[in-house]
Amino acid sequence: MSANAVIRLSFPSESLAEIVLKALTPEVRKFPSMRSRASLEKENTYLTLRIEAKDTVALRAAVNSYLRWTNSIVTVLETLKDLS
Amino acid sequence: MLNDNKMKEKENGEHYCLGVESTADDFSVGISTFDGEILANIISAYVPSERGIHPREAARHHGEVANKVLENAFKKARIKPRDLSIISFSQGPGLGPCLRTGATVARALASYLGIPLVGINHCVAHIEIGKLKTDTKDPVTLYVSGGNTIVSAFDSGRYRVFGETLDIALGNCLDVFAREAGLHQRVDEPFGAVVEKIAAKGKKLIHLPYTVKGMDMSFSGLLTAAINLLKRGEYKLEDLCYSLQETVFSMVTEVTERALAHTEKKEVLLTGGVAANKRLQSRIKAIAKEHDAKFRVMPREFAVDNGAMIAWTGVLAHTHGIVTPIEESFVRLRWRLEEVEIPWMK
Repeated sequence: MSANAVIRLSFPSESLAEIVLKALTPEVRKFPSMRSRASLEKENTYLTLRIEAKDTVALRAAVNSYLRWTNSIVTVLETLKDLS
Repeated sequence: MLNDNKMKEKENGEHYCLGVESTADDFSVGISTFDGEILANIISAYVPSERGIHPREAARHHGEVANKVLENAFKKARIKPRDLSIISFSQGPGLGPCLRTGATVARALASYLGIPLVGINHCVAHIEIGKLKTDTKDPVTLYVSGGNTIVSAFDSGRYRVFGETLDIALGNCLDVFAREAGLHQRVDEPFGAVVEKIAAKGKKLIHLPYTVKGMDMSFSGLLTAAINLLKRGEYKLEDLCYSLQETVFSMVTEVTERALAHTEKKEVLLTGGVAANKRLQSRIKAIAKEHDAKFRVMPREFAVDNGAMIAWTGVLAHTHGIVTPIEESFVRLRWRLEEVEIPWMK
């Protein structure tokens, strides 16, 4: 693995960070690509995403996937709050 | 975030399930009552400007529209998120990036609301919504779409696959041919409908490879043959569309008829996106009549990929004790129909 990224995501609440962690954990445990692997850790209101990839192309693909999923979750939960 | 995982109940005692569908080009959210009343079924289709579905581009579409589709579903159903009792999602089979987008959203919803998550097999859901909407009990089902071509029927606790495609799906065969012919599709008029319209003007039946092996079918060879004939320019497009339709529909009709004769079931259900084709409907209706079986076809809204079918099957599964723990809710790209136990059928 020659390309690495560490992304620290800040959430407005610990419960939201926990929901995102739960929702993404299956995708961390079984990420579809052989060219990258990831880990996700929660600390208070922060999630730390670590990605190791064989090259920068694989790294970009993995980073995009996790960030898009996170973004979808956050926007969906915001919508849910507005509807409640 | 709600902490209790107990079944929630609305003040009037009604239970609801929200289903998320995202196996391929459609992102959809449906809401069903536990009695099978579909309160909402909002579908957002990804239509590429050119060429076929790129899984990552479709997944990007799904992620971008998820909140709007969800919002519209709640508005249409006129319920609140906390009225929900279950979240279900299409766990497979399907395109990986698309499935994962729907799965992450569904997990987040279940986790936020503190309610159970249920992973649903997409093919089972097509059959179950078909039974619900056409009032059939135990049909031979012909499920034909852009991604699947399956003839199935229930036996010994599962939906058994009696025949299926060995390569590409029937809908995919029509789509690729249409694209090669330079035709264009729209959200309200997919390639299948475009081909059907042109085929209606065709008169000459051109020979194309007809491949039924046992109870299985192969469409890729005849697609190549049809494209080669198209490129040679010797035949009218109308005649090629007509011949392509006649050949592929004859193949699925033959397999469906043999399944019907073998199982002696008294109902035939036609579903999937290609079910909208009137010529296919007439072919399947004819064999149903010959075998003294009722013919039922799904209305387009519920024949295409939709969240309502995931919601309704979520109700069936959960009320029969099925729950998918979030930490084990991995998507299953090649989850076959007959792998799923169906405890709600005897």
